[in-house]
Amino acid sequence: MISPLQVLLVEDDFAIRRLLVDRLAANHVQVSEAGSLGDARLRLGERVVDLILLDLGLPDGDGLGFIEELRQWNDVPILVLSARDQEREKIRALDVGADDFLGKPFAMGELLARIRALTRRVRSSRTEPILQAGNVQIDFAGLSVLRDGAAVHLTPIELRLLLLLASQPGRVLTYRQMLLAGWSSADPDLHHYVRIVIGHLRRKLESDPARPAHLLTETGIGYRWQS
Amino acid sequence: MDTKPPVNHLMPRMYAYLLAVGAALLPAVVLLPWRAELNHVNVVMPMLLMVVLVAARLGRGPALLCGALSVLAFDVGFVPPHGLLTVHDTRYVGVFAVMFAVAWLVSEVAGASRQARLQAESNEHAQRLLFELAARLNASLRAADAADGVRNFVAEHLSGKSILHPSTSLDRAERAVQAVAEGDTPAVLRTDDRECPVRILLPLRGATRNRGVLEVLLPDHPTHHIQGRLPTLRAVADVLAAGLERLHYLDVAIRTQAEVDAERLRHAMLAGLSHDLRTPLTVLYGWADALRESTIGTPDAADAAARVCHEALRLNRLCDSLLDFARLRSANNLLSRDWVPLEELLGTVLAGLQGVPGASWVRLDVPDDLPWLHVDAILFERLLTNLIDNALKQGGAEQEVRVGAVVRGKSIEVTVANSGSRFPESTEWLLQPFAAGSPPGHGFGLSLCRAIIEAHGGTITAGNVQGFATVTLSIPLATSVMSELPPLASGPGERP
Repeated sequence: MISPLQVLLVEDDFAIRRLLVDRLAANHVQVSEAGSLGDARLRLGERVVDLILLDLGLPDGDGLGFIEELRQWNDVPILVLSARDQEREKIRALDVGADDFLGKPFAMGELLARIRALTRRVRSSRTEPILQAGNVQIDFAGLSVLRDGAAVHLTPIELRLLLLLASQPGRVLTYRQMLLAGWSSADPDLHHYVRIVIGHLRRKLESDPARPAHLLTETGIGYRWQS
Repeated sequence: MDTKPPVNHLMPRMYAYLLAVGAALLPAVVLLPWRAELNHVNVVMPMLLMVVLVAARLGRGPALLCGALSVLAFDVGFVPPHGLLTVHDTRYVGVFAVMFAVAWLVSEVAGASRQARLQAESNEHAQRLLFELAARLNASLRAADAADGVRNFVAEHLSGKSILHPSTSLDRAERAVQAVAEGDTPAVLRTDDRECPVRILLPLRGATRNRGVLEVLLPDHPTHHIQGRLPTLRAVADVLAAGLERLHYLDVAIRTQAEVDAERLRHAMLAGLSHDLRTPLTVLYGWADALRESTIGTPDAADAAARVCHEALRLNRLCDSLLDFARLRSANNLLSRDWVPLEELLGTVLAGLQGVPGASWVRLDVPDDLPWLHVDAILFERLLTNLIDNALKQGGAEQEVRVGAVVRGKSIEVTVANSGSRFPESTEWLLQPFAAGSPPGHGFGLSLCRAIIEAHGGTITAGNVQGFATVTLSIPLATSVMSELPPLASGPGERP
């Protein structure tokens, strides 16, 4: 049997902490709490966690710096809790290594789905050579993609971006990250390269490219793969 | 300079001539008792001294008078026969000539040096006055104070009047003033005014542009020629222009600072509002959500909890809209424009509206070859979400909602139409946030839409087209060109 998920919640507002500790516990997720970055560092030293829920506005420092610092030694998934209007903060958090974000207020079902998607990746997907998502099958080892059992021809850059996204289901990749991976460029004027390639991928893989089921857009931020 | 007449060291003319007479007679009277013993030279020398003195102190006229009288007194008093004017005695014509020559030369030299001294004093006086004026203008905090300073200066030192035509009121000024304001040279005009018939218009030359025109009205002066006053007046005008320019930049600096402060305050307020409202909203929504999911409560309680959730989300959206609206209205709002295909935007909008009844039946009519939009993707997503959400909610369950796009001229037109409702004939309500008479649910959302589309240089219109209540967005086609994807073979990504 899989042991219950261990989540570290870094959030300075007491009422939100209480809500999340209570609701997550009811859904079989164990939560350790930290009200500041200092607390968070202490908790991380005490036990291994499966995921960090991080509010960016903390009293004793910048959440972005914390993510960067953590990524030096730890690749635990980080889910950022933020207000919807902080787009720039979100993008920077993702660029320095956060995995996903969720805007406040959020439904518990949505939070649990995101937590599961991110932790499932760590626990399983890296060891599985083949990913089945709906009618699409991706073979990471063989570098091939099937749709409804038929091989799909992809250009090298399409394949590269698809594997980057699909190997990390649930994780949001920013335009910058994808541009660096595909073209070794960080020029913000070239973000549309990524959009063009994703458009091609959707036509080749999605049943309804206008309403994609796997290659999801995070408007103004980037893309995520949903299995 | 010729402002206040410089202190005249020449005595009043009448006294000067009287003194000259006295000076001529003094040696003669004093030496008369010893005329028998005295040689002629002994008499002429003191007389010459007197002529020199008078020439140096009193000027040429009195000196010549003094010389003439001295020769006369000498001839009458000391040349025998005494008491008679012996005109035929030509021996003393030489004395006469020397007296005159000395009087002339000395008065000339003395006059020149006095003139130079007076000029120097006058220049110094002018400098001091200008300096005082500059100091006064520098201390003034309003253009009116500066104009007052110049008016006093002109009244006091030139006995004239001055009028300031600032650059802001030039369009109301007469043409002569406007002509001077555009050029670089002063104009001298004559008017019918009895007191001050001379009218001088001087451009106020600033470092970057002219700051207006200084008009000076002067009395006709018998001795001082107007051209002689122009350098002074130009200097006054330049000092005034510098003062006005300083005030202008001071004003700009103060205003900029105020704007920066207001902007900073607004940002702080927005950020604070956003955080402070959303934290309790998150908690409220979270617990209501928990109640809704709970299996313990009655169906009524779950229903009530669902309503609380719904309202909390509505409040949250309102909060978003307010923040967006405030941000769009702020002066230094920068759009982060990017190339986006409309199809992708519509995909995320419809995915976000999944909970709204009818969202999955929205008909999309977007041509494949529609040019990409060059817009702020996040704001545009909100714009489309608002419009489609409104369209879905306005009509009933049976209605049809269509989203279309087409290139028309130099714009892309995006239409959101629903068959279930009609817009009122007047579209005034589109223009004002919270305007009375807006259809229910439209008021603020559409105002935000309008702010977003206008920030992108486009327009929004509403009307009823073929039985559909239709909102039309018109977005100008981007002027820049979207760069093509580089050939894949040349990219660094051969194989991952």
